[in-house]
Amino acid sequence: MIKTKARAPLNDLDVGPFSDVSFLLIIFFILTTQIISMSGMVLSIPAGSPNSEIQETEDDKQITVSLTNESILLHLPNGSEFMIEAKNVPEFKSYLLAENLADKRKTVNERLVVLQSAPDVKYDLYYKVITVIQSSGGLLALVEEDDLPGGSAAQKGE
Amino acid sequence: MSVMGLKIKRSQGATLVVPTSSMGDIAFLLIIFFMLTSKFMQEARVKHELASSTEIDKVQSQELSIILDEKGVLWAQGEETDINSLKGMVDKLQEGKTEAERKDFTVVFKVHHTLESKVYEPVIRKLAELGVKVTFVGKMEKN
Repeated sequence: MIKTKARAPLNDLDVGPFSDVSFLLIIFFILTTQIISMSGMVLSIPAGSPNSEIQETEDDKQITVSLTNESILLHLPNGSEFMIEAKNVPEFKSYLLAENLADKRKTVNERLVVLQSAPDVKYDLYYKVITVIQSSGGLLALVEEDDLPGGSAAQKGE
Repeated sequence: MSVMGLKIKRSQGATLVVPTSSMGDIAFLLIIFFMLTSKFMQEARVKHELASSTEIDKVQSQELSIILDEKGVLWAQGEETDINSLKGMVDKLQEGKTEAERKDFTVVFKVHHTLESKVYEPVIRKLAELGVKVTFVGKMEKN
């Protein structure tokens, strides 16, 4: 008679440590995940390339904003100029809203807001101004570096 | 115990067994969720504080993230870089994209709030030159 070895009964797999490892991995992912969503504003800045839809126009037909750390000088197409304190951005916004830049009948050129800034303008102010221009329906345009007097907008603004 | 020859077994207290096998399943599902949704903080080491505005809204994260830190150093995707390398990066990310997709290509731009125009404006000009849309990221300021 052939004797066969009795097989050892299969034990249940111990899954306890599995969950320990899994929860460690979860903690790792929770700590490394970027949960905070970003706030901001999407802007399309005209490049001024030859095939750009924006045509060069006379300066006085566009809204021009000259920015320094102390003031915002707003030049409107009708020739009027407003000197606004840098901390008074809501006033700047009210002037832009009065221009009705969001009007769909306006052409791209009519919606352009040319921004010149002094070289020492802090980004905090610059950011407030560009977001106000965008939210008022304007199209932000930067002055070409070559067009700036003395190679910078500062001299003009100050 | 026996009463008149009848044997009654004393009942033993019920033992509470917590099924732990399902815990592992739940944990793995959570891991898969976090693996699919997480984005590693490549930029955690870049020191910068955002500017604030009342006009901004929630925006989505984009393919290319650029930061100008408190010292004016330019970082792209968490790596230190220079302004002239931006074109190469954008071109690489736009490879295989259609014309419409290229037009909608958006770069996330973060600048330390106290930096001066002479530092950040050349970068903005460069991005305008590249023809990409720029998401200017900031902090929401209450009215």
